Parts: sequence; structure tokens; C-alpha cells
Amino acid sequence: MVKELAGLSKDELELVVKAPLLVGLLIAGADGTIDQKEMRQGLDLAEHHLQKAAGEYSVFYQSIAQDFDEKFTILLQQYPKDVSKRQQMVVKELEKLNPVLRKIDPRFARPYHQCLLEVSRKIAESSGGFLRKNKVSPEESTWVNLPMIAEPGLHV
Amino acid sequence: MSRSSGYSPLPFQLVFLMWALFYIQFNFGVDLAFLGIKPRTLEGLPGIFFAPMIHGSLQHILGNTAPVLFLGSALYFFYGRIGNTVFFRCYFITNLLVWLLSPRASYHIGASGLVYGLSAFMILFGVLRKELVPLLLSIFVFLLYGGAFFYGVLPIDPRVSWESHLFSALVGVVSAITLRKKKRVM
Repeated sequence: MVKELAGLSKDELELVVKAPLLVGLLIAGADGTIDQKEMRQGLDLAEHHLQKAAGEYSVFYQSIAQDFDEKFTILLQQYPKDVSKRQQMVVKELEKLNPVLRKIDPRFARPYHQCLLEVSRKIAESSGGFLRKNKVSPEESTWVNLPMIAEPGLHV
Repeated sequence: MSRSSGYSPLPFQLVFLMWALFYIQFNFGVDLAFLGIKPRTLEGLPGIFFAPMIHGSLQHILGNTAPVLFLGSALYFFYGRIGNTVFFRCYFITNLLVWLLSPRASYHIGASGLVYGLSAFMILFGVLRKELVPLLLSIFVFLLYGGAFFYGVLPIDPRVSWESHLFSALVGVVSAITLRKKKRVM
């Protein structure tokens, strides 16, 4: 267990662990069609990124990356097929991360937020556009920078 | 430490450092937030010196560049003899107070605290001196920054470092009161 997460409730901790999958769902499903082949590439990239996360939190990221693909498939089944309804639900869940991240030490919260952004970009780039010319589709570009999650650990 | 000249490169040097660090941060993908003030921690101590030089986005640094240059230059131009005193009080005492008293354990970054301190000083100093030029400057600064002033010192938006705004404004006010009877300020 990461010591920075010790003060979180069970639900909050679950959300922190689930958020990379939610980000995957948000981006992969943004244009309405979840192309299994492209999706797999995106998830593989995300998994690879999570696994190579260096530093003192690498064990935490590796545990999220483990069976990322399978976890994603299970998660997908829990949400409605209708894109706008699903996006709305996912965005609402991700918004709940804001107060949670404010509770976490910025030494963990900031790289964690960066990691979510990386997962988002990797999935968007892997599944984007005709002949991959437009790497990120217009639908994905709305969400790719995760506007519902404020940059944590910073007061300006 | 007082100066009699009506010019100091200090605000320009600060802005140069702000942009140099911003360039490093965004060009090389380095997160320099750790140079911010993290209250009551050893790792947050360097922030007392560095925090005003660190900015989180282009909008953030653009928003602080003009006020630092304008208020800093005006301070040294009109109040050259007390310029350093006011500038360094607003810079270091503010940051020290944020480090000591902020209730939030996150990084505080940006030069907006300094902007609040310099604005508060100039607005009040002009009123207290009851001289034409300081009074005109006071009115001008109030018209420029007075509107945003009150919103920024209240704990409304969790992303905003209202602590640095509030403490710096207090430092500016205290500076204006303690320096108001100085015979020569220009």
C-alpha cells in the first residue's frame, strides 16, 4: 500500500485504482464505436506505460496495469451501451476524483494525474482517425486532456 | 536597504527567471511544482525563494507578467528609496507566512501573491500620504486591480492560493502603514 493513500476511505481508494480504466472507457468509447483491435492496442500501450512507471510508486502502477485488458472488458459491461449516457456517467465518476486528489500528498497526486493523462493520450492516439492521419478524433479531443479532473496538488 | 534611483532591474529579472523556468518546465516536460511552497515541510522551504518564479500554465504566467512588470517598475519609479524594502517584504515575508500558516498541504506557486502585496501597498500608500502623485497612482492601481482583489483573498476556488494573496495583501497594507511617514520616498 502506498503510504500517501493511507488516509483514504475504501470507496476513495477504489476510485483511485479504477480511474485509469474509467479514462480508458471515456476515450475509447468517445466516438461511439469501440473497435476491439484498436482498443487492444490502446490498452496494451496504456498497460505498458503503467508497468514501466518508475520510482517508489511503481508497484502501485504495476498492480493497476495487471490484467488491464480483462478489467476493462468487465468494466465496459457495467455501463450503458448508449454513448452519451455512458460518457456522462464516466465523467461524473471521474469528477469525484477531485476531492480525493486534494486529500493526497502532491508527491503522489501529481504524477498520478500525469499518468492518467498519459493513459488517455495513448488510447486516443492508438484508436484515432482515418488511416491514423488524424491521430486524435474530434470526439476524443474533447476528453483527451481530462478537463473534469483539476490539476492536483497545486494552488496558483 | 534603500535606493534613490527611480529604476531597478529587479522586476525584469524576476520576470526573466519566471519565463526561463517556464520554458524549461514545458519544453523539457519537467514538473517544477516541487519548487513551490509546501507548508511546514522541509521540502517546501526552498519555495520561499522559488515559488513566485514557478507557474503552472501559459495563462498563469501571462496573467502575472504584466502586473509584476508594471507594479514593480512603478514601485521603484515612484518610491525608489523604499522600493527594495516593499518588494522584498512582499516577496519573502508573504512566502514565509504561507509556509508557516497555510492550512493546505499542497504546493503554492506563482507571482500573484507578490502582485497582491504590491497592489495593496500602492493603493493604501497613496491614500495615507495624501500627496498628488501617490494618490493618482493609488487610484490607477485600484482601477486596474481592485476588482479582482477581494475575490482572490477569499477561500472560494480550491485551485487558487488565496493564502498567498491574503498574506501578501496584509504585508502590503502593513508596509504602507509603517512607511507612510518616511520623509523621502522618491
